[in-house]
Amino acid sequence: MSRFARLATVAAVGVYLLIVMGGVVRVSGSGLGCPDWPLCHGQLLPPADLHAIVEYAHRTIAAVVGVPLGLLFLAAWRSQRRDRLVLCAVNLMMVLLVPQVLLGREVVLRELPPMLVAVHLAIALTIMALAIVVATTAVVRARAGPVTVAAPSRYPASLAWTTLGVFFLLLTGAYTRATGASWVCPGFPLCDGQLPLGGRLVEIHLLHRLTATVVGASVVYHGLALARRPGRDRRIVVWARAAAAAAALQFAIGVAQVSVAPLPLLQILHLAGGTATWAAMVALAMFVYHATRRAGETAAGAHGEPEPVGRRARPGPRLAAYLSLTKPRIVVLLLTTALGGMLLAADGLPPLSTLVFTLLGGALSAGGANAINCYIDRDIDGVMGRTALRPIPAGLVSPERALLFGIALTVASLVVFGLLVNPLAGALAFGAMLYYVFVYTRWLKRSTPSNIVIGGAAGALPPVIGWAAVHGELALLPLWLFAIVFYWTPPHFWALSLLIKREYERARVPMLPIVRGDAETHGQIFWYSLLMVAVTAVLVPFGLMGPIYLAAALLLGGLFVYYAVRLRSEATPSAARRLFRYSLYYLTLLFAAMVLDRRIPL
Amino acid sequence: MTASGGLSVLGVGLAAVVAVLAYTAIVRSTGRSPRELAWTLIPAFLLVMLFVWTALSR
Repeated sequence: MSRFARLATVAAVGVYLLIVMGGVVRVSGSGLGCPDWPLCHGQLLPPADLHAIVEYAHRTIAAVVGVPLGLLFLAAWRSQRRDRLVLCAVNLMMVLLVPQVLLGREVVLRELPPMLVAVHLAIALTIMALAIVVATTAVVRARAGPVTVAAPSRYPASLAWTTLGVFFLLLTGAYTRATGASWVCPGFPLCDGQLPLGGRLVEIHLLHRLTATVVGASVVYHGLALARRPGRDRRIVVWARAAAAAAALQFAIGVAQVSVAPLPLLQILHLAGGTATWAAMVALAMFVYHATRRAGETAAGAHGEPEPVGRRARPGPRLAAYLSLTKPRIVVLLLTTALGGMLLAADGLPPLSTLVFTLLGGALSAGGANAINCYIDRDIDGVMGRTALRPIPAGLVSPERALLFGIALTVASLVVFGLLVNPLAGALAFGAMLYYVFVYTRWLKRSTPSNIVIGGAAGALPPVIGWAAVHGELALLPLWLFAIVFYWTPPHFWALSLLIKREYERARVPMLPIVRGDAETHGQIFWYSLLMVAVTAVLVPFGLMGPIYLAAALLLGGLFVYYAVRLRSEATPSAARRLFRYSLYYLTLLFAAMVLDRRIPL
Repeated sequence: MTASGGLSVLGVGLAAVVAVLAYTAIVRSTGRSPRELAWTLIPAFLLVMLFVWTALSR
């Protein structure tokens, strides 16, 4: 196992232990052992009280687990940059960590509302699953080569549905426990030897039982079926058996709980077993996925030429092609800044529905704009190596369908914003889409080297949209957030364009390094970086931000300018690459510092 | 039109003339194309406006 795979495994195990510890907190009734956050009874160390110590231990483990997760993120960006699956997983993991920490705080301060408890668990389970996705992928990549074991010809969709079913089952379990519906129906399969009577709590309890029966049976079936097939990959066999055993054991613990007595140990074991089942199913699903892929690649390689486009376009690849049209990595970056705008507007966590629907609407809007961009740029995408494999030039999706897809996503985003968020946020998102498509893509991109300076306004709008989603109106701070992202965009994109300027040249896109040369671009990057740092710092004298932010802005900005200076003096591709990579972290870290500054008043 | 209204129109007109003259002078002295320069100056102008607006509202 490679070091990277080991790190991912450590992160996954850490999150697993954290979830189980969360169960201990819940079962022991220690959820409010520390009624404040992040301190405990106003102190750095908890008082000598069992509940406070248990709750504090949970928080401490959470902080410790953050270390391997952070290292995994950095290691992935350092050594696994070409693996899109790994990068997507670690990026999503980092994006989820912010709401997860804030949610942990809200769960305590709002005294354990059932829905928040369930969402808190859901995000933890997702983070663990993402770490497993990274670990399994790293293990498989480390042993690349032709497949010598039996692998399914196509991915079994029922396995994916069963895995999602386990996730849903765990959520129903958390909700059952949090609403106090765990013990309303003692005995199994009946309630106290009788058919269950109606009532909200009984319904919640029965939903969990029914889901457990159906999903549990499906897990055991898949586990046994996948483990039995001759010649199967050893890892698939191991995880298939583990999933089946964990599900069976988990079902038995659940039955024992309602049949015997609500013993704390059984409750903790029930959560540990459920989480282990989820982990085993994710690992199994991923190993089967990789085996299927490699079998497909081996088969294609054995026949020489790759399969024709028409034959390749089965539902799975086609779905991936449509997803690729939305440019998911760019969408994630845009959503990160929108999330920053929301967190700042709400001075903490906004209402969950606002958070979810704004991110959903934002993803649809940005995805739609990107798909339409793919349609408009299909001629130059085919010429540039970086974009030649996009779905339209690769022949996976026809241009007309890509355009229709983009329009459909845009309409869907308008519906989400208009009905579930507010009209102002919807109007801003729609404006950003129109600006990106017509002003940037259609007009500026192919006509001026200032294309990304002016066009960058579209990418600078998400924090404003996030703010508008929470407040329904605008203020000065979101306009400054806009200005920061606006002035961050030129150095970020010019660093990238320095790296691939030959491709831009071939496509006749007048990027700055082509029109004015490298030296002028290095100079412009430097001056724009300085301007950007000045814009970030000006928030403090205006009283919009405090000392924590100032320290972070100067530190992060200083590093940004340092990389720009090095690029100017070295004038090498590696210096441009360093600046480009750092610029990706910079924006996320700066927004995180803003949120921290507002949460911790000094 | 009141006297203050007339003065405002005059002030805006004068500011526009000064801006055009200054812009022309910058174009000539730097040798850059007028459109490219506009793309740089427009955002800078908006940033200054935001700065002034923020300062006045504090």
